[in-house]
Amino acid sequence: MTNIVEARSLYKSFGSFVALDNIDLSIPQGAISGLIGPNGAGKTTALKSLIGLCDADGDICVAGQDPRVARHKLMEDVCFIADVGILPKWLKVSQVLDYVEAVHPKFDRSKAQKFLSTTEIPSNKRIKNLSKGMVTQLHLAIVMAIDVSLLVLDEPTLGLDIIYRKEFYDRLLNDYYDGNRTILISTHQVEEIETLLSHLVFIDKGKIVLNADMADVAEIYVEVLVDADKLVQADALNPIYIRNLLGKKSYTFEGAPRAVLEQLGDVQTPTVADLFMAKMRGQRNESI
Amino acid sequence: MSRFSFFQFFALLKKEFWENRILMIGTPAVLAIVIFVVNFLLASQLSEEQLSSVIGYFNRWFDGENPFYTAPIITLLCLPFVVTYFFCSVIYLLNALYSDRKDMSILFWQSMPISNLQTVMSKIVTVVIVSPIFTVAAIAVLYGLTIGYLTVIGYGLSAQLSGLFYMFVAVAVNLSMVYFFLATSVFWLFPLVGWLLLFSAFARRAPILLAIGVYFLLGFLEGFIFNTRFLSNWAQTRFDPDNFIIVDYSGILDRLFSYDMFIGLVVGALLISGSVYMRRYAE
Repeated sequence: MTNIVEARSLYKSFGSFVALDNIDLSIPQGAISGLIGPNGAGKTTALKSLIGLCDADGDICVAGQDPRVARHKLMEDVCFIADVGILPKWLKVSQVLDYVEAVHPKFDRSKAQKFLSTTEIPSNKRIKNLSKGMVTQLHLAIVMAIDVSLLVLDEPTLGLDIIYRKEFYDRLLNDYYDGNRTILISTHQVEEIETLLSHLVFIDKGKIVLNADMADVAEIYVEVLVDADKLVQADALNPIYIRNLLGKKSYTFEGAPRAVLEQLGDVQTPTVADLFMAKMRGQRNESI
Repeated sequence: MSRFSFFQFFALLKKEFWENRILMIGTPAVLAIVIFVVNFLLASQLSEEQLSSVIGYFNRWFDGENPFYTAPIITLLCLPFVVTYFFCSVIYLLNALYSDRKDMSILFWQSMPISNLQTVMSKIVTVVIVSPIFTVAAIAVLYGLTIGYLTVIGYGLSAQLSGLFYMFVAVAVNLSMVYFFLATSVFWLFPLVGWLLLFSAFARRAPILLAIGVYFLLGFLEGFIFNTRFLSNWAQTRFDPDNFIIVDYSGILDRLFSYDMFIGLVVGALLISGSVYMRRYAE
């Protein structure tokens, strides 16, 4: 499978703070990839670097282009929704559509209007008079009407209530994703997107902690609810994370033989959230 | 430029208009209304005899005269509009590359397939071509209302009105002159345009303070280090209205294609290039 995003030795610092520390990143074409990390991990800087909105060092190739050379050309093939309400507040809804229709060669206005007709967004209202959920719906309507190969979403549902958040991802998956397009999502709300993801990237302190397909993740990482009498054997297998769960100990292993682990207790694939905790906090015990 | 690029650029100009309609249309329109109302109130204080005398004066002044000779005279009446245009243009340029960074909408604009050069060029074309259209339109409406008012009053007073036709033609000539003056004066003041855009492109807050502050700092450093006043003298010459105000078309080519104009355009272009560069990763 070819990669739509290839970044090598990506480095970016703000003064003495290193936001991206020589990271390598690759996203396969057609994947729904989650870029997950704690606050200040470098998610937004990484995404902005990939689409030419941030000046990072290193080799970057997105959709066959270097975003630092011709961002505007790249944007014919890439869409972006940022983590803040970035639609200009002084514009009317109809004016946003007019503008995008005039400047974007791959925008289909009828698609956007069809999407908007299923919402309560009035076309003659200014964006400043819309709720945050409506602004996100409007932005999604625009993005979904643009035929691009890569959609980059940076915390797109931040600050939205559960209804808008669910609807956002439902529409993205059902109405937009067609198996060929690539979606790169950065979010804190891991639980909401983990069922969508086919590819996973963890980032922490400017370094990539994990970059793998979900299928590989299920093979490599195993969580075991270890029986009380087998804790010593479990400890000997070098778990990457241990936590207390319902009076038992839950161990997360990386690359350990599944057949051996099955003898220690109930075996399951860790959720993305649990794996995230495991990779971020290492073997530190945590009480629940 | 391809057909699509043309439409793209036109959309950028429309966007500038949507965003700055109050500055571009509202301000000169309010000024025109205020001037007309003040004139109307002043005229209403005059007796019929005084009014008839004023209309007769206008009539004699313009009647049979070549409008190209009389047009410059009324340019003086446009002075409030010209001053307002320059004032609004400074505000516009300072905010041009700053306001979208302030409200973060730059991320939306930058997510469209529009280059930073196109964006900056749209700001310059707005100041040079689009904005003066609305200023001149406001003046035209004011002139139209004034001539209409004088015609109605003069007709009621049975005054001689043939000169008002010549006045109307002179006004048309004058409007073209004002538009030409506003547009060309921006070229003369191109270093200022570039300077304001540069600070608009990278100032984190209060670009006006930074633009003024850095200018004075550079002037101070020049005086302190070299004991010269080149920067302040050059700026003084550049901003001297005598050097760029156009009240008639005589000698216009000499001014437009002068060495000073060329130098100003080069300096302005360099500063504008800087603003395009700063725009690349500015937030």
